[in-house]
Amino acid sequence: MTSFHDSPARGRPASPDARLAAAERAANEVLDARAAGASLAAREMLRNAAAKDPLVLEVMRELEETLHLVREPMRGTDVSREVLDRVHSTRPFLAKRARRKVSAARLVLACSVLAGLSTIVVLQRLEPGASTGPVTAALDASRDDAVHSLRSLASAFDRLADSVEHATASSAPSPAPPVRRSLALGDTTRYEGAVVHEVSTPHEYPGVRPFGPGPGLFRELPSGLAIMPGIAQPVVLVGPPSLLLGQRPTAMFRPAPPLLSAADLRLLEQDDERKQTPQPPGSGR
Amino acid sequence: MCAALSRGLEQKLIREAAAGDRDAAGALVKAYQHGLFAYMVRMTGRPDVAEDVVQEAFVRALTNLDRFDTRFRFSTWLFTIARRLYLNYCERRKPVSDSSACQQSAQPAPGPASIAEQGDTTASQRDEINSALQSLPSVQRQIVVLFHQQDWAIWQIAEHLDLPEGTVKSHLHRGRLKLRLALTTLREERAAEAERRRAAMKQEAWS
Repeated sequence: MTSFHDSPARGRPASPDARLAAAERAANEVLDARAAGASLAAREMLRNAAAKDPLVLEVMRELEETLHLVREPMRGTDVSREVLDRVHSTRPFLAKRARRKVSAARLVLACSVLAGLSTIVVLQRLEPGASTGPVTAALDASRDDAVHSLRSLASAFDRLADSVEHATASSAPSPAPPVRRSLALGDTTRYEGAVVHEVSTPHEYPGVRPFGPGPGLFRELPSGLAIMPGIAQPVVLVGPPSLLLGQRPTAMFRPAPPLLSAADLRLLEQDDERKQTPQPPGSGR
Repeated sequence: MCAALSRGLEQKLIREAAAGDRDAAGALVKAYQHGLFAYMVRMTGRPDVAEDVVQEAFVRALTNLDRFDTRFRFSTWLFTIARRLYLNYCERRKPVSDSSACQQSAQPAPGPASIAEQGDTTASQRDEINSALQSLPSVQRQIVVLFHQQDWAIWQIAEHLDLPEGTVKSHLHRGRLKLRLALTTLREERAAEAERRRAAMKQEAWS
């Protein structure tokens, strides 16, 4: 907005309309300053504007008179009784005693709810195994469902692996049945099924279902638990946490270090062989 | 103008009124009824309509006190309800009168003769300012009245009318000047009319 001080242009007589418009603008600015609480600044502005054009004073006086009339206090009739009666017919007011009763009833209700919840919490603390509350029951049920679905998933994979194995076995010649070797010192092959392997080298095991941190329900499952078809007990895998159900099953294994070193094993085997080889008569001490 | 209650007292009264306390509700009505009435008289130009709107606004506000958001001032909420009621009233009157914010439906200002009969300067000035206000567009009238009568800040008016503050300011400036012009014109017309009547009476007396 152009200020009063900017117009009319100096040295040029202003038209009556332009003069009036400038005076009105100046008066408005003074009123704004006064409304903003800057009374001294407003007075200064008015003095400056009036020095340039006395019409500002006249406009200002008329405006003040008009606004004074707008501000004139007015008192209508007291409508409180009618209003309260109408409100009471739709939303009844309550006596002090009734309001106290309502407050007390609300308090009792809130306290009883709080007490109930506290009792449930205390019972659960005392007997954590017992499923005392509906929330616990629901959690248990969902957990059971999850375990059940995982088991059925694993058995489905087992069946699939069996069928694949069966198909390959029927087409290829069956390998010789494994010879169960006798227990010998240093021979750990009989126990390797239960050995916990650590991951080091990449190796693919078709059919392995990695159970790792995943979305939703599986996030809470222990990391690195896997069920392999053909092996009854779960194998602990150490792998990237991004392994998700449904991805291509991949796991990396590193055989655990043998109980005896290779040199020890060699010595023991030589000893075995020596014992099994028939001694030529007369070679003993 | 109607900010008779402090914020804390206002909230206490609202809580008690919402809990069903008749006295608290009565105190709220008494605190705001005159300010709202003055605003509505300026808006409608008719005290009877203003009184109806005030009553209805209080009934609606107190009936729905549970919905009131205590972050806002009760007066703002009450004035919003009253404004909507007034707009509804204008809408109902629309087929009869022009849309210029019920200005045609406003009670016609009494003529110079009746003013002379009353001999009450204050009453005549009140009629003049009411007539001048009715000549303003509705938005400008609301802004001028809220700013100069109710002492609302520009931001409050902007929030109340859902307008930018700059727009409110420019409406305020234009409204003030139009109001001054309307009042001056009205006075000049009335003075001319009075002069004509005096001349006619003189002529009658001579003849």
